[in-house]
Amino acid sequence: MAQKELYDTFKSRMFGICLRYAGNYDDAQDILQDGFLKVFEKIDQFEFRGAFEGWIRKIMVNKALERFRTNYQVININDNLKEVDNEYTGDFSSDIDARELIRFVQELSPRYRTVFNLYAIEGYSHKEIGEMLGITEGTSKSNLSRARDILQEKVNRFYLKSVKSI
Amino acid sequence: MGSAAENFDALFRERLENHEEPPKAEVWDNIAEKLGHTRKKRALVFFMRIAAGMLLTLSLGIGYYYYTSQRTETRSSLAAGQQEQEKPAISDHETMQVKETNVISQKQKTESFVTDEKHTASVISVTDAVVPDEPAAVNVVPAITNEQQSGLLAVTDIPERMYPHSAIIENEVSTPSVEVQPCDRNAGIVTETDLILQQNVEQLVLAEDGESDKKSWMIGGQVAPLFSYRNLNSDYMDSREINALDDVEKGVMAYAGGIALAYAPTKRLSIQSGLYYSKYGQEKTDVKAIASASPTYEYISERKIQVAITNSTGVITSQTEGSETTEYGNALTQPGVQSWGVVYIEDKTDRIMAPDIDREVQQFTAFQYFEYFEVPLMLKYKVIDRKLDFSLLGGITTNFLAGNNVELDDDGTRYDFSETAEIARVNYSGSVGLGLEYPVITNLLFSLEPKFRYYLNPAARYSGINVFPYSVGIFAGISFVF
Repeated sequence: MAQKELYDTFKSRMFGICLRYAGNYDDAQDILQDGFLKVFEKIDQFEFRGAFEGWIRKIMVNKALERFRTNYQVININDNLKEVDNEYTGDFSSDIDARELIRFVQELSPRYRTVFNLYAIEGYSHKEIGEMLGITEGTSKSNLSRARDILQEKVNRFYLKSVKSI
Repeated sequence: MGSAAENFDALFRERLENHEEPPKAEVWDNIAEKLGHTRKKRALVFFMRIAAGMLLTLSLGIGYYYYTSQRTETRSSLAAGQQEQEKPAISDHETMQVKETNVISQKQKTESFVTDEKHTASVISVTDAVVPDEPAAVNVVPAITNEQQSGLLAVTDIPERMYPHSAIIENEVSTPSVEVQPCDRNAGIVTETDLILQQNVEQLVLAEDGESDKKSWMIGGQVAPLFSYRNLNSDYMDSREINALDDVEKGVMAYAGGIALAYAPTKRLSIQSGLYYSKYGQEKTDVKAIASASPTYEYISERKIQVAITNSTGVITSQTEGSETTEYGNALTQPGVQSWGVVYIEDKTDRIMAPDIDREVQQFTAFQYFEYFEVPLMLKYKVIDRKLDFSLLGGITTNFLAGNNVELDDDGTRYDFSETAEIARVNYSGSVGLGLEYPVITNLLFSLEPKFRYYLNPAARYSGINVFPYSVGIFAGISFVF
């Protein structure tokens, strides 16, 4: 069955994306499921003009954003946090594996998590993110900054723990 | 924000961007279940609609058939020997009087309910769908516009396993040197692929957010010039005799038109019906008129001529004007055999009567025309869904005989001559065709549809000759989608 083949080809890569956007494992699976249903539904609209994976990937991100909008739009975070010019270590050794990093990202609030994903990993500009999420560019920037701070803190704590455990 | 922050992001990106992790097997189970359901449901709805349409068409056809056959019976019962098929029933005369109405028709359909133009015109931005949580965000700005190409999600690789050719063909054609760029927003490179992806995304956004905005209905009109003719076969005549008929008959140009209504349950598939008027016919080159010399008719004061027509389709009966001559009035024609009848052509006898009796005076051409009201039930599948759509269509049409006449052509001057009897009142025909559609303006489509139609039942089977009319036409139409 062609659909199963397609699913098997992309499931792991797409699940990797869903995990970053979701708050937890189950949510990620839900996004993955909804995303693939959408892919199968819309596959006749894919005109083979771009890369197929990019298209699927976009659908997954869209699904994640949809979920973000429906679930979290009422949460109003104080957007005017002052930008703290934190010192980022700029380096952490490879002993923090991806799963650990994903867990850190998942622990962020939905807004921070989404902004961080879109900016730091997907590469959207603040302007685009603002439009996608219905927030201002400034809000996007401060959200990102805040997300970085929190993540840095988690990374630091992780090192502290691992140092202790040695 | 210093580069330390960017580096911090990069560390996450490097590790997470291409992170892969297999989901649990249950995810596929859920997907498979839902796919199965929706598919079954859609198929069911789809077939229900087809069934309803066919039922309607059939019942119309059967109803009409009974209605007309009852009328024929009543009238025929006045005359004896109504069952003798070989003998031209006089009652045919009368049934033929069921007068045809002139149908003003229009034309028809097509579908492609969602055009590309429409797409771009009404791209619903991501922002639109979001409830802004700050006043400043109220600006409704298309999330993805051409001015904002940069930084879009780039394409990380091309899944060769899946679509080795198709996925990159367009790139190669338009910009052979284009490279698929890895995601790198620092580079800020906008590749062709980004743009393409963006277009896909636009479509996707529209498809997701604009579901209710889908154009599902179409109403329109079509007209077409038609070439019409017939195919013959016979239960007992040999091919030589059939060929003889083919030698003296020819197809003719006629026309069709009507109004069409269509519904598209999916973007690519639509079901169409409507009401059409069609005129078909054939030309008979072997028509002779001879002055009537038979002593039998001597008591008739008017001058008469005899007309002989070689004809494959039904029985051509003349319309005579004097009651005394009715019984001779049937300028009957037997398939494959010239047969003779007496006809008054009072106004015209002067022109075509020769002084000598029993001499062939003139060779004519006759045209046999049939008019139908038609109710099609067509399926149309869009093979290419672009600005210029390309579709395949096929279906069944019920054809109700609405009128018929035979004209004589005397060097370019046409005279109404008579009618054809022994032809089927209700017919079914199959059609196949191609469809091209182009949006003239939003919601208004221009279409061209070459169509071929073939009768599924013999339109006439007099004297063992089965006549299957067919036509080829190019339908031009304008339709409105909503």
